Formats: sequence, C-alpha cells, structure tokens
Amino acid sequence: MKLGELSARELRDRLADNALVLRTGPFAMRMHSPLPQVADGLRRLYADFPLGDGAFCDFHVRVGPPTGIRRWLKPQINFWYDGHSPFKPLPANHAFALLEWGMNWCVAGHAHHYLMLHAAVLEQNGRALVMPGDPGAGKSTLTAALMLSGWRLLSDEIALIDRDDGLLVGLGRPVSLKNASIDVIQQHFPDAVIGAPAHDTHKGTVAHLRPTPDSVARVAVKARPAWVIFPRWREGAEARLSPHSRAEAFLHTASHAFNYSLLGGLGFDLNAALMDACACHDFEYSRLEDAVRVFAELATS
Amino acid sequence: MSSSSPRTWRVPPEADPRHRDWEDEDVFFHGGAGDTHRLSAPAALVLLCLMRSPADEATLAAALAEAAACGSDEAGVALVAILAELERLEFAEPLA
Repeated sequence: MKLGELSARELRDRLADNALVLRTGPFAMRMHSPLPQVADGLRRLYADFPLGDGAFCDFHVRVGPPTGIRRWLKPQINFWYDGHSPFKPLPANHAFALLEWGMNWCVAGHAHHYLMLHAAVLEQNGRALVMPGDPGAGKSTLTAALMLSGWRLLSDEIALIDRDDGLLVGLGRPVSLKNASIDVIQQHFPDAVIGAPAHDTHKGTVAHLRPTPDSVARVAVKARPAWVIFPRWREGAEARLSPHSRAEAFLHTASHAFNYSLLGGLGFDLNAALMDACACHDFEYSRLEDAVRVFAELATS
Repeated sequence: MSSSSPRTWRVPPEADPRHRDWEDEDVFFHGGAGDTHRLSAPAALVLLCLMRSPADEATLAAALAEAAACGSDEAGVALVAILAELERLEFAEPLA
C-alpha cells in the first residue's frame, strides 16, 4: 500500500496513533505526530512511497510540541528519535522541515552498514552520478533539475554505498530546496510539486520537492557509480565540465562523509573503489537548461 | 642524513597503511589513526618501499635517486625531510 492511498483523515489518524510506517529505500520509519502540517507535507511529497507493515522499523521518530509550560507561551515543535531529542525546539511552522532533517539525522548517524557520503546521487542508463557540493554550490538545484529532466533520484543529501558490492543505494526522498532555488525550480518546471516553505530556518527558506514517481518506484534498484562531479553555480558561466583530480575528489568525499573515519580501512577501500569506477569532473554553470543539456550528453556518451 | 649513523626505518605495525594512486597522485590511509593523507611522489615512493620491508637510509636514498634521476647527495637531503614528515604522520619510525 502507498501512503497516497490513505485518505487525509486516515493519514492524520495513523500519524497521531504512532501507526504510520513509511519505507524510504532500505529503511522503515515509524512516524508519530499530531501536527496537521506534518500530515499535509507527507501527503504532498510522499504519496508514492510504500507503507511498511510495522513488523520491524529501523527508526521511531516523532515530531510534536515539546512538553512543559513553554508550549503554551511560545508554540514550538521538536523532533524525537527513540524518545530522545537531538535538536533544540524550532518554531511550529518548521515542523515538516524538522521531520526531514530528523530523518536525515537518523540515517546519517546510524546506517553504518553503508559508507555514507555527503552528496546527491542520480542515475540514468544504469550509471550513477555522485555530486558532492559545498553549501551554495547549486547542488540541490541541479539535482532537482536533473531529476525533473528524467534522471532517477537516489538521494539529495546522503550517498549510500553498499559495503558488499560498492553500488549506490537509493533513498528517493524529497529534494531540499533553499531560498532562490525554490523559485528557480518552480519557474523552470511549473509542474514540480513543492511543499510548503519553512521561512527563517537556519538555512533560510526551505521547501521540499516531491521525487518523481520513477525515483520512488525504482528506489530498490542499486546503481553503478560512473561519475563524481563537483558542481558550482557562477553567474554568467558557460556550462562546462573540466577534469578533477581523483585523489582530490577522494579527499573531498572522505572529509565530507558521515562515517568514513568510523569505517576505518573499509571506508578507505569503498571510497577508493568509487574513485576507481568514476570519471571525476568539476562542473560550472549558470543556466539550468544548459546544465541539463550537458548532463544529458554525458549520460549518452 | 648522517652517513656515520645510517638508520633503518620501518612502518609501525599499528599504522597498517593502505595506498591508492590515481594519475600519479598518491593517497595513503593510516589504519591506526584513521587519517588519510595525500603524499608527494617522493614521499610515496619512500613509504611504499617501507611498506614492502624495513630499509636503511642508504637503500631509501638510492631508490629515491634512481626514481628522480638525481645524485645520491641530493636524494639524501630530500630523504631527511621525507622521513621526518613520514615520522610525524606516524607512517615511519626508526628501528632501535
């Protein structure tokens, strides 16, 4: 059963009763929230996702108002994982964004049976593109544009590398758009489904983009790595790929990984295998349509 | 490097190093510390020698001179700095 097959009432009831289990790639998350904006966000962005049977859940998460007298004075919300709250409370209208950040936190902090790099991953024609990117480099904007142009999204934030075969494992969750990129994507892709924006977060305004049905339907299909590409948006720049040192790419991905050091020699071997399998490039662009064209050419090369 | 007291160097067992190279750029992993380093080609050459077996300074300098096509004196000077760097990174230590 998919989440979108639940009525709005059923979804709210399941969430309120701690009876909603959402499958995102290899993980099952049991979700608990009394908040309508969480239900609305899930309904808008996760409609294609399968529901789990609840027999086993990797993570038990809750988003709701904190306890205590403060909740009456200043409406806030918090995130709990197994009853523990790793974050400070946030304004109530950040509830859905907090759920997304919390879900990322759950995976990044616990899924150590994968090497986890801070990178987006997309796939086309059986070959996967890994895109690390510093904040502000335009990674999420480009990820969104590529997904909406036919690439299959595996992940926006966390590249999962299977320790047994070195293949990339999908999560297929929504893309986090920030600030100007929200309007950019909406203008370029008027049919894109974007959730309610959360304003004045620590990242500015944040809104999440619904993954394409294909990204969700084929989330269990692992992808063979083919490219590591470092995008950078620069005003007026021509869309251009240029070679990037694989040793440098190795060091970058290792230093921005969630658990590279924790995995020790295995992390080194998996990241090295990624570099062995990939051509590494820098990619500079300013116009999104040019970027999409360059990547389409890359995928068919 | 002192010619009067050539020392033999080795990789400390706890370093358990791993190595990969791409396009003549060398990356090493220190298994004990969990640190990753990119080393220069001469430093990589010396460390790879030591990963095969302990070696004395004369042997290392000769390998360096051959690879760089330079004189032994020049290689010897470079080796001092390389061994100091490898020792600082705990990839190499003199045998007692």
